[in-house]
Amino acid sequence: MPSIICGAIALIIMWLVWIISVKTVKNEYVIPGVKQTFSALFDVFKEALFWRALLRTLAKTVIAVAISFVLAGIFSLPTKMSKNFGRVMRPIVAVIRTLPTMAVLVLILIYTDRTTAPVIVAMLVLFPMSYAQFNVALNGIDEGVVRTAKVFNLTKKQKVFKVYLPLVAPNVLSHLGSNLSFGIKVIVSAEVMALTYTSIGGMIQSANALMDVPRLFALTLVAVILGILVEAVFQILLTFAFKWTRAEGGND
Amino acid sequence: MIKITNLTKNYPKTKVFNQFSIEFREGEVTCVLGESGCGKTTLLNVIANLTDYEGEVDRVKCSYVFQTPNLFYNLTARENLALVLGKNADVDGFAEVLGVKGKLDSYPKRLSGGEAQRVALIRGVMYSADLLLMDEPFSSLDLSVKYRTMNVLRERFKKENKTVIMVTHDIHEAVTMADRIIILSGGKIVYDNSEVNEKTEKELFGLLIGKNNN
Repeated sequence: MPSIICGAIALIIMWLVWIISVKTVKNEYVIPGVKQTFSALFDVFKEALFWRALLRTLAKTVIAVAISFVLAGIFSLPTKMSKNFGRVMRPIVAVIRTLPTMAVLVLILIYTDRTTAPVIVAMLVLFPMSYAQFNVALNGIDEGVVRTAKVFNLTKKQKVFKVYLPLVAPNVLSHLGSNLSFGIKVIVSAEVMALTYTSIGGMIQSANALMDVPRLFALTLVAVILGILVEAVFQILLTFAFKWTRAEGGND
Repeated sequence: MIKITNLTKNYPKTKVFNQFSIEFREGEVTCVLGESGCGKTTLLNVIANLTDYEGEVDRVKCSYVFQTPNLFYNLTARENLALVLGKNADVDGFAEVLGVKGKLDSYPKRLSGGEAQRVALIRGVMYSADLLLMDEPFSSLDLSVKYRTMNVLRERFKKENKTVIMVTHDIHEAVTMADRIIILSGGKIVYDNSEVNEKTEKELFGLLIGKNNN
């Protein structure tokens, strides 16, 4: 079955769940109807503040993902080259991974501001994920390639920039889209907690305070759609890059 | 002369070599035959310093044609060759002889197994080294391509007086390519012939097939 039909079926299922929930709960302050939510959504789209908030939330997400991605790359290369380095990194990454996010946010707010804190929290959440993705990709490099690089005396620079990084790039970058999507979720959650000004999270918190549930649902829908769109756009861009990964051909 | 002295190499569940010694003469093509697991590939990997071992092995600059092409997938065939041989290496001539000139600008994923292996052969043969190691280099080539390639390489090795150690399962390949044939079994040399001629093939069949029937 074509994937577009599967996607449409999934949308219909989610739509039905929403409608059934509305009919069951029968309280617009708990679950607003589809019409109310979309009406609130179009109202939100008309606000200049919304677009500024959207750009700022996106910018924070991109910064957090980019920094955690680069740091993960920097730390994963020596992890691949040195077992001892990997052994030192393992407990550090485990601690970072298990930090209670919202508690950390509260702590970080003491030392920074409402704009910076969500970025730092997102980095702490994303770094272990990116680091693991890099490690899996580096460990997945064919042993034959490693041997070839050694036998033919490639320099360290050639190995890293001509072989290892290009070979892991498709694998690692394929996760970047989902990391961005996940990053949006973390940033928005952190913005809600931190009451960040001019942000999607901040707008969600304001809607909550005013008990404007349709607006709350509409803004949540914005965050969800944004995450899906970012991931989808990334996947499309990736199909045009890395032409050397495309399907085999040729017979003797 | 390339010497291996008192080589000992074991894997967790297998003993491969125990105080094994051998010498390889310069300018000679030596084919190594033997049953699976007798240590043929391990011998090549020890010489190429790709595995740890105990003993003494003369360190020389090696080139290697692996059993699988091991091309870098992110580079075209031409870029693979340029990375190892240098940007100015003239690979077109040899590529034309091996029938892959038209494929040099393709990525490895777009090459057939035989084409990729021929690119790997170009890389291995043209790389400037004191010793060329080949591990079943023709196994992924179909018959007509294989015999053509073998003839080309045999001529080239003679012309360049190349020192080659080649592992193969194929008796005919060994007899065609080799100046010297050795058979390994149980980590020891059980046959060593430096005068390969028309009768050697029959002799080897008798040795290897007869051994398997016992």
